Amino acid sequence: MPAQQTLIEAFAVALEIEPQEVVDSLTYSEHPKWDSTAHMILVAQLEADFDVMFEIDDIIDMSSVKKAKEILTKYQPSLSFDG
Amino acid sequence: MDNVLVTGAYGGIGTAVCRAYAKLGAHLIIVGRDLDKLNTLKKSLESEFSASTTMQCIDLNQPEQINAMCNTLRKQVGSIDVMVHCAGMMHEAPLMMTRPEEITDLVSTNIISSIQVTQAISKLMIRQKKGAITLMSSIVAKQGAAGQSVYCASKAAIDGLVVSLAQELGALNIRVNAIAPGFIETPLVAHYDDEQRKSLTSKVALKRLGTPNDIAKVACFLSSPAASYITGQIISVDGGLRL
Repeated sequence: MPAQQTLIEAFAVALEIEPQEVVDSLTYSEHPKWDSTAHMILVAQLEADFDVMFEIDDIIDMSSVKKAKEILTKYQPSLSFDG
Repeated sequence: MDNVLVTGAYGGIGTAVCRAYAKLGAHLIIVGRDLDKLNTLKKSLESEFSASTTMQCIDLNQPEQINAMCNTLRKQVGSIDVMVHCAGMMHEAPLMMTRPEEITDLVSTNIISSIQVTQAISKLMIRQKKGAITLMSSIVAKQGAAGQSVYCASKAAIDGLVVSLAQELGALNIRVNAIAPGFIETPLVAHYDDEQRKSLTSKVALKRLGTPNDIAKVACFLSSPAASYITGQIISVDGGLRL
């Protein structure tokens, strides 16, 4: 599955939102569903789906979909979120 | 079959906890830093209970080893259902006779590693929105004991961790509790002489010292469906000991 699709599904499942809502500007604590509890689920979901183990600093910094892509790319440079 | 991770697995309480879960048919992940002792325990659990057992030989004082273990477990077993954190150490001496490195060791082993292993393992429970974490406190966390100031402080920290983390993780259906053992016959207290044991026994309402099995049974209860509405609790298992 393309990375972009995996990312969208991970966010949609973790935050319990529609896939169409998963856009770069989606931001932690600004969307009512993306609270601290959902953030914990999101981190666990992304770690499982992308087979990575985030550093604590990255978990704290993961404040938007755009930022999540940047962080994931740091762990897996071959990832492409185009399209 | 539940995946049950036990730290300090080959210690007195840890071994009893592993045996109790093995009897229940759990898949055990036994954690410790002595490979020979882990191997011996694994063989014993497999031969006596036909238990499915995975070993993780790591030093819980090394956060990178904890993270590496979790990464491996995520791939090997997927998720963890239960963690019983038995690893810990005791140092007995008046505070004035306790070296700085002894304080650091005890704080690192009993507090910091407990926090870090709980932080890491809870991530393996979050996706399934289910889990039970049981930590080891002590009755001296509340009652105190001369010659155990640093140890008592470290166990009081566990109590704070449990009541706070239970609130953080409750929404994810992860329950966090602690057992506060009284005087339990384990290698940690093997140096107590007969006179000390007699004196302690006289202070126990049930007039006997505790066994590791007394603790193991409560650990199994706390992670069972029967305890599904219990979280953030420090359960004393001390026979009614009053120091």
